[in-house]
Amino acid sequence: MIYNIYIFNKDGLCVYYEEWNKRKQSVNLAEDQKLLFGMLYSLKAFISTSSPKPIDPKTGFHCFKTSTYKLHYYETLSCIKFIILTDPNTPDLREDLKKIYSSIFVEYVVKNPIYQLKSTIKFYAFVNPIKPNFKQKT
Amino acid sequence: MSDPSTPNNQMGGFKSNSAGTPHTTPLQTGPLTALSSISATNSPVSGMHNNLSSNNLQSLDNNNNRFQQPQQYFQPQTPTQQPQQSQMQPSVSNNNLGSLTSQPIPTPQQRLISSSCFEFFYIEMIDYIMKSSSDKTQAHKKLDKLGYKVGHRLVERLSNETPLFPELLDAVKFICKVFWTNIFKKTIDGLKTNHKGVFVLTDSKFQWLQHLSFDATANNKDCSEYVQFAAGLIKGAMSNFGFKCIVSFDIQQVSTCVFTIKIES
Amino acid sequence: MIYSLYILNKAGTLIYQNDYGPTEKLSHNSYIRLGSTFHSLHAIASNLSPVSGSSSGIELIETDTFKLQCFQTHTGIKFYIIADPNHPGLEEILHGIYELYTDYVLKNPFYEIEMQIRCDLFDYKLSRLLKLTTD
Repeated sequence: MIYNIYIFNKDGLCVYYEEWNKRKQSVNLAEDQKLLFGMLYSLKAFISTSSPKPIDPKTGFHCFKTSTYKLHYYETLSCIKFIILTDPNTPDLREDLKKIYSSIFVEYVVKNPIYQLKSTIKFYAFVNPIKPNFKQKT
Repeated sequence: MSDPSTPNNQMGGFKSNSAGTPHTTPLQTGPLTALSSISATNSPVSGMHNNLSSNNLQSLDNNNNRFQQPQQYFQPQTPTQQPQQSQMQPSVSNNNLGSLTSQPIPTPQQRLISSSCFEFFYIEMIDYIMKSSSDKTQAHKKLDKLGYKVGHRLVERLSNETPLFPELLDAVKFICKVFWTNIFKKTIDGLKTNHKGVFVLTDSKFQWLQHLSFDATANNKDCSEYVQFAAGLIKGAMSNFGFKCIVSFDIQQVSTCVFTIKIES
Repeated sequence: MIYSLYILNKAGTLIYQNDYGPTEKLSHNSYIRLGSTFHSLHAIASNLSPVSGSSSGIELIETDTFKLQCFQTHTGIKFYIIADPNHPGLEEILHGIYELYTDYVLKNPFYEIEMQIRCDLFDYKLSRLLKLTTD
């Protein structure tokens, strides 16, 4: 069961957000996004300090789980962050996030001449593959 | 295979990075490139940057793992190559000319160029030209001119060994097959003519529009600037064959482009 | 292989920290800071829940080099261990540690509630428990 997906760029701007099955109505979406981004930033700093061996915070952090949801995380070297919230029993979705990045994001957003950096993504060529991709998992 | 000193290897150091690597399509050069020209003149890029020396290209190659390193530009002459080359000599068997072309024409080793690199470059080039003049039609004219020059020179090289075209239709067919294949790795999908100097070329999957998509809510869905360059290419090619023409285009649906060539007689 | 154990009180202050494996030794202040950071992250995570209804804070963090499992009691005490990414049964270990806490810390008349834990018996029992689990 997939709840929502966020894609953040390097500056913390949420360039894409989509939700399915979300039970709780958020009061302010922008605030939620900022909260999430800030929390992940601190979490990455936390794990790089607590780790017993040297770890790269970008690629090291995989996911965290609480009693009601699991958050999967994938960050590219260009600091684009792909985040999915699912129910706690979902196995690791990092490979799927990687696939979304390589075969959908790069193809239809990065290579799109119309795309302005730092703007939100609404292109149908990007949105359309994402939706069915996840519909089959929900 | 990867050189540790190249910047790209730092990217390759982390396991998760294989995601966004560029696609490479071998911009292969057939027997035509047995000519001794060193630079990758088969790509439209080089036509614009005439100063692109082989050194620059080599450094471009070095920066991408996917490029094959050209060990040497010229292969040593092998006995099997010779009979091939004698076929490539022009029909004029003038002694002087013969001596020029009877020298062994070396075949450079296969070199690959990243098509994603070119696509990114193309996007920026179009952007730059569109911003360089406030008037849109002026910018389109610039693009047309640019395409004209590139097409003109490109076709010079590509038609090196083909015999003279007896008819206009043959010239257009050459553009549909050889010319288009060299640039886009595919032929034109449909050719129609009214036999009175008007030709309609249809490309159902125009490569430079493949990754383009609009906002669902966008009102102005105009991407003609990305095709204008290709129209210029055709115009330049045709003019070098001796046929002055006007090329217009129409973008239908997603990435289907229809080019109309009208010969000025 | 278990690397370290941290115990936080209700307010988020570090009351116990110990290392059991080859890990970098930080200054005491850094440990306190780490503890408080985790406390806040734990709390924010429950706010971010996409499902209505209360969510617990972070229970598990998975990374390349370690796994962090947290157990929060109903009284607000948080126990969290940092271990190998594929270490099994961390939840039982945490429950075991909680039992030891109630036995040797809370039942210790010299221990002040919510303060730093300085009970030798607790340390001893802990190291025995963790040695047993790694064997």
